[in-house]
Amino acid sequence: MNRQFVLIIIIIAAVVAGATASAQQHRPYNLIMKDVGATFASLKKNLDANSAAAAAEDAAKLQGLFTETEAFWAPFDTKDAVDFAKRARDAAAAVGTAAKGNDTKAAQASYTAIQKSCANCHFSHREETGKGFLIRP
Amino acid sequence: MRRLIISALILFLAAIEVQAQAAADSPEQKLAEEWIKRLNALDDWYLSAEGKEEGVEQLVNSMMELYAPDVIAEVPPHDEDQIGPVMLRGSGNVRKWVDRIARSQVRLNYIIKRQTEGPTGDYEGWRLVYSTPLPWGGKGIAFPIIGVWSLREDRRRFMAPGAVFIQYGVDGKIRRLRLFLAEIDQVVPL
Repeated sequence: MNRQFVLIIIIIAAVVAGATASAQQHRPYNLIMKDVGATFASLKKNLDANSAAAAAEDAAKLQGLFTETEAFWAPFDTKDAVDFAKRARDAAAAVGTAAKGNDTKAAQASYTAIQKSCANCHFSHREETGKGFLIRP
Repeated sequence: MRRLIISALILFLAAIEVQAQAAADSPEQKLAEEWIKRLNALDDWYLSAEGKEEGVEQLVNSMMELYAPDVIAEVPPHDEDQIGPVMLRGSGNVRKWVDRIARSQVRLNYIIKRQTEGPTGDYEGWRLVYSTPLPWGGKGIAFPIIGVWSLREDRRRFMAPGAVFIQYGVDGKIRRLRLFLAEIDQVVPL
């Protein structure tokens, strides 16, 4: 009886440890960036079409993607990239709030703020090779 | 007459070119340029999409190939609190210094200063490398530099004039290094 109990505890501990480790691993950065690109383009389209609900949905998705971006950079001594990701996430949240309130002007302004953070980060950390991109530390 | 002038001019320019080429091809010039090249290459590594640092070890190894195991290096202070240079003894300590540069600095752009004979010729002309045979064997070289780098952490950019003094053993490995950087200024947009 005691042996079975110990075995069950060990199995539960292993499952919990595995799940935690899996949650800490992030998706490959190129996949995150591809999702950011597609969602950002969709956000622009929806803002231009005054589709507030769809724009708010895109903004919420971007918030999640920039959180992933921040998590990628967090372990490195690269504070500027972490800050760019945070600013982009905050701007995405602001787009979502403005879109929900049908404030297109404010949404467009925050959209521009996201664009600026993306551009600044790419300037410092993205190197084009002709075949793709490299991530500079 | 015109032909004579043009011919003389061509000969004069060719002579300057040959002289410049000779200075650029000297073994001492190559040693200096190799050291600068490997220093500037220390930021030439990348992060993988999975978030792994790739290539940094190879670049540090490449720089360390130049040093003898018993090297003594005098390098600039590591932080703002330290006054005066840091003396590193042995390639293990030099390796830590090189590794620190590779991991904490980006956009490295150290250059050997150029000079012409004229009073204002400090930014063009020849990259002068001074050299001397050492009494105990090997050779010493020295050259003026301008160091430019950014901090990886926040991308703040710095610039400093300086000079490098290197002593090579008979085996061609660096036995002593002195890197002086004076008046380190942060580069800020106007």
